[in-house]
Amino acid sequence: MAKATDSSTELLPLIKVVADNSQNPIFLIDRELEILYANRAAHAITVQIAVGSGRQPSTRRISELHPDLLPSFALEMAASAGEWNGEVALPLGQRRPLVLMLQISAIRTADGGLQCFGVSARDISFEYARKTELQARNAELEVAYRKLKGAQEQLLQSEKLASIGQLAAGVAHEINNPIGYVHSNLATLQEYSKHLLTLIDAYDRALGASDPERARGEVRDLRQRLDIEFLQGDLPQLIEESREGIERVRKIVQDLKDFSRSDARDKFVKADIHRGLDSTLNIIWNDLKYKAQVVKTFGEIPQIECIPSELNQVFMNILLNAGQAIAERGIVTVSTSVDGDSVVIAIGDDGVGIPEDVLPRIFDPFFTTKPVGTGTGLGLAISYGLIKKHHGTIDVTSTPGEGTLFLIRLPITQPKIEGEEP
Amino acid sequence: MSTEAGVYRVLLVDDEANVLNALRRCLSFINIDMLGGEGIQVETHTSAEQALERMESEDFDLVISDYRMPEMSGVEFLSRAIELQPHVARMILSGYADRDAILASINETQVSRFLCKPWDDGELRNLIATTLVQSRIIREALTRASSAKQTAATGRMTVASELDKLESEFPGITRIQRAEDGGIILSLDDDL
Repeated sequence: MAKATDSSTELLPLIKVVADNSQNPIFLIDRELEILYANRAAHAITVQIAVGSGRQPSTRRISELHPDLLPSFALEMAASAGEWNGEVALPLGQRRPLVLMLQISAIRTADGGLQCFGVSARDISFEYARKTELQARNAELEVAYRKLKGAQEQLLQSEKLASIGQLAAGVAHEINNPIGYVHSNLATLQEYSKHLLTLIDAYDRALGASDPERARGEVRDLRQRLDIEFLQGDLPQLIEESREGIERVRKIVQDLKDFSRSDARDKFVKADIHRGLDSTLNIIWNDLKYKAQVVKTFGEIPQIECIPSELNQVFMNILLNAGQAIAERGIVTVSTSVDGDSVVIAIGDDGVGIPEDVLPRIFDPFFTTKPVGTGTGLGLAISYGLIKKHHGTIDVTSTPGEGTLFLIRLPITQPKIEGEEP
Repeated sequence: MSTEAGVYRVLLVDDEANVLNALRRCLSFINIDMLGGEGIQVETHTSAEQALERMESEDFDLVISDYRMPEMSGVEFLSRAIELQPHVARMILSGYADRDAILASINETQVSRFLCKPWDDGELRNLIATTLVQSRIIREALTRASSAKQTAATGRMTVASELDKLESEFPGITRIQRAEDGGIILSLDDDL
């Protein structure tokens, strides 16, 4: 023990040299906050604080230097717990604030009483300023990102609307036809029921008639005049056809709903690709049927993790293009298959094909070969983005005059990525 | 009174049988009073080609066609129908009225109406009855006009040949010489 004490006494001057020369400011202060010791770096800091806050440099009392340098609660904590660690920021006029990382240790007497405080500081003003700036930049980026994301969503939505606009003609035609004849049939049905009610009245009168033979004759005449025989044959047919019409409208509305699936937007779910292809085909069928025969070759494929409405949008873009590529009459093929851990969807047409110089640009945003006002030039660009979002690929091969084939490859399960929804 | 009196004949073309059936029902309620007491006969076809074949052998007063059909568009069908029967009244009844469809119908086939599905039965019946009666009046007027023209032409030919005969017997008799003040100059040195 004695030796140790001796050696520490011998080492004391050496330790002071180390302390004096430390780049971190070191203070020793007593309970009245009087400075007992300050190393060179500490002196430099006191000068910096004094100049910054426009005071006289004081080397005696630390509270005179700056009231916030050693907060009283920090000293209290250090006195009770033995140590306090924390940061203090001192605003220094026009200059950037002085930020110090402090370690305040309570130094006790042999009997456990508080003797003084040792304060070791580190100037982290630079790091602090950098951090603040980074946070500000980050916030700016966050805002910019949100704006971009909003713009992208809007673009996506407007493209979707544009392609739906293209469909409007076909869908309207397909809905107005059944509505047309159901509407007209209802008007006929109204006439028919008037006739039937008139006839029932005649029967009622006949039941209570005093001259049954004459009443029978009247009923017979009425039946002939209203052509009840024809009505009896036509009525069931009228109702059957009307039901068929309403069923068709219901189906189209269902297809449109399946197609957009707006209730489950932006969520990856397990879904049947065939269902999406079918509902998309049904919707654009009205555009396709007058010129294309659709040949479906659906393979045995599992459900895949996807956002169905987004894939439907891709299918629709490609199928609409396929239809437009066919001038008079042609064939559109849609096939599906499994390849390893992916599903492959192939959509082909035997239309005009894509010229070689155009082919590399078809996925470019705003590139279009369609007349002004008919294409947004975003259909395939957005399709490409959506497939990429699904971690899939989209490839195209085309021979002018022979046709075009789009190959979409989608993973059955989405790769699990940290911080991303599965 | 009418030269081609008789039942009014209407031809309906739509690729959808249910539409044709509904239209047939709708037209069956046309009051014959609206048609000047004449009856109406409706013929329907789901195929435009077949309808054209019928038009080669049968006359119709009115043709109503769908616009969008698989074999040919309503405009193409009506253009070919006019070639067969130039005076037939014609209308388009379409599920979707896009600009191109309307323009083509008016510019290429001069339809009297471009109608939209769904239609109103009462309005359609009135329109068809009016069109049928009017178009028959116009056709009869055209027939009368052309026969009158023919009579007039024959008349002109008779006058011309009489004048020629007179001129050959009395040369100069068909010509009149006039003085500057408009007075007729009587030539007295002719062998009177």
